[in-house]
Amino acid sequence: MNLVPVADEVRLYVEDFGDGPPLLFICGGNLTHKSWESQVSALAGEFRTVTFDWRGTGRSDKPRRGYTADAAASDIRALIDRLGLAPAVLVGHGLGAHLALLVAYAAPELVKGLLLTGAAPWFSGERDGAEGGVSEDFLRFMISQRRGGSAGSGVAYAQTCYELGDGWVFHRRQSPGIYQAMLDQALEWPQYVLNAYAEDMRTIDHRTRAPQLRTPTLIVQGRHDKKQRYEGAVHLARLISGARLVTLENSATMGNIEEVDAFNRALLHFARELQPRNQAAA
Amino acid sequence: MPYCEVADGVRLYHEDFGEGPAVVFTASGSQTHQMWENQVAALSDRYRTVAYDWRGTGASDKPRTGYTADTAASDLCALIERLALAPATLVGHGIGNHLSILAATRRPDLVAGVVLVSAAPWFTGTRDGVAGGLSREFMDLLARGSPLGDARGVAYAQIWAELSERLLFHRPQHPAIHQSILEQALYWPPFVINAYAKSLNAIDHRERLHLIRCPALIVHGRHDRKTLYEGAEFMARKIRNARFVTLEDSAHMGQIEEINAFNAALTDFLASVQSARRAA
Repeated sequence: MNLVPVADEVRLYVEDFGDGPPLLFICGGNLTHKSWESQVSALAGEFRTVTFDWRGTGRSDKPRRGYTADAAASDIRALIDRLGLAPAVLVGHGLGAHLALLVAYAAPELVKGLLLTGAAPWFSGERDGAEGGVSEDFLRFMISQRRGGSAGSGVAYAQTCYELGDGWVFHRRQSPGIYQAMLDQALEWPQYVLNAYAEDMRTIDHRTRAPQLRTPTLIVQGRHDKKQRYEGAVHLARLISGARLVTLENSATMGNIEEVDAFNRALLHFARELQPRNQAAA
Repeated sequence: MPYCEVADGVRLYHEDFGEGPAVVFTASGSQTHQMWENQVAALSDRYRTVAYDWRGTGASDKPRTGYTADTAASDLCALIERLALAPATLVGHGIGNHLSILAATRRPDLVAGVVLVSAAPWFTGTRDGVAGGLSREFMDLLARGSPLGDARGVAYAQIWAELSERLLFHRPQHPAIHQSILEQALYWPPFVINAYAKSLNAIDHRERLHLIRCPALIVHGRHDRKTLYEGAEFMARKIRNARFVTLEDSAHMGQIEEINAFNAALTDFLASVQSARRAA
C-alpha cells in the first residue's frame, strides 16, 4: 500500500508517479503529500514525481517518538535510497525546506538540485540584523493554541487548523474547496507531532552550513508571506552560492497553490536545466 | 506500530505519544481517536497517551462480524495488555464509556481510574424513574438513517451533520469543528454503528456500578441533549467516591466546547490517581 520502510518500525506513505528524472517533494508543516497535487499532475508526464507524508503524519506510521528534524531528514535519505531516486531534485516547502537543506548537507550526492519555497535561513526571529523564518505573529498564534490544557487558549484544534489556512497562508481570497483541503491536511498532523517537530526545529540555523553547499538551488518565494518572511528567503538566497530567487508577486506561503502556473513554470525550467544537454536535446 | 493486534485478524489503529502513566482514550460512537486532540496535546508532556479507533471504525480493521459491546470491551483490555499500559486510566466519551465500565469491572487489574465523559448507566430510556442514556431526540435522528421500518431514508452524511449542528453543542461553534466531527463520523460505516447500537441496547450497568473500586471522575455538560444529564447524576450516586464535575456551558462535547475547564478537571483527577497510587 505505498508504504516504504525508512527506519525501524517507520514506513512512509508515498505516491510515486511518472517516469523520468526524479523530483522528490517535501511538504510543509500541517500539510500532506496532497499539497503537491497541482505540481505532480503538471510534471509527471516528464519527470518521476514522488510525494510523501512525514513520519507521524498523514498515512505514514506514527511511532511514539522520534519527531526531530534529524530523524525526518534521515527518513528522506532512506526514501531516496529505497526508491532509487538518487540524485533527485528536492522540492521543499516551509518546514520541508529545512529538511531539504539538511539532506543536502548530509548527503550531497543524493541531491541534484534544491527548489525551496516558503524557505528561511533559520527557524524564526532576527539574526544578523535580518528578519527570517517564521514570524513572531505566527508563533504567537500557534503557540497560544499549542497546549489544549489550562495554559492554552482553549481553542479547538480543528478551528486552529482552519484559521491557519484561512488567515495565514494565502495572499488573496481562495475558493472554499481550497480552505477545506487545507483543513483536512492540517488535521492529518496530530497536535503532539506538530508540537514535537516545532520544538526540535527551533534551533535550526543554516548560516554556517548553507554557504558550503555546492548544490544548484532555486528559491521561489511569495512576496506577501506573513508566515515565512520574504526577507528571510532573500537572506537565504545570499547564503547559498549561486542560488537564484524567483518572486511570486501575488502569493503568500502557498505559491504552489495560489500561483500554480508561475510556480510550475519556475519548477519546470529549473528541473529541465539540471538535466544533461543531450537528454534535453533528445 | 500504529496498529495493535487485539484479536485474531483484528488490528486497532492507535496513536501512542508521550511518557508517563498511561491514559487510554476511547472515542464515542461516530467519532475517532481525533476527537481527543486537545486532550492528548495537553497531557502528553506528563502522561503516555493512547487514543484508538474501535474495531470497524476509523483506520482500524473492519471484520465482517463481531460488533458487540463485549468484543469492543475485550479489544480495549487487549490493547492495554499488548501495549503494556496497565494500570491505565480510561477516559471514555458517550458510548465509549460502556467499554470503560465493562473493562474496569471485569479486569480491575488493568485499570487505575475511569473518567466517564457524557456517560450513561444504560443505553437509552427511563429506569428506576431516571431518564438516562441516549435521548429520544437522538434516537429519532439516528433512526431516520435506517432503510427499514418507517424511516425516511435520510443519507448518513446529513444525519451526522444535523447531529453536530443540533445536539452536540450548547453554543454556536466554528464551522471547522462541525466539519471535523462530520469527517470522523463518516469513518463509522452505518452497518457497524447499527450493529454496536443493537448490542449496546441491552446494556445496563445498574448492578455493576458498585463494582467500580478505582477512582472515578464523571464529567457531564449541563445542557447535554444527546446523553441525558440525569443519567450521569445517577452514576455519581452509585459509584463509590465518584467525583462529579458539571460543565456549565457545554452540551455533549465538553472536551471541545470547554477545553480549559475540561482539561483542568481531567489533569486534577489524573494527578490524584497518581498520588493515591503512590500512597498505596
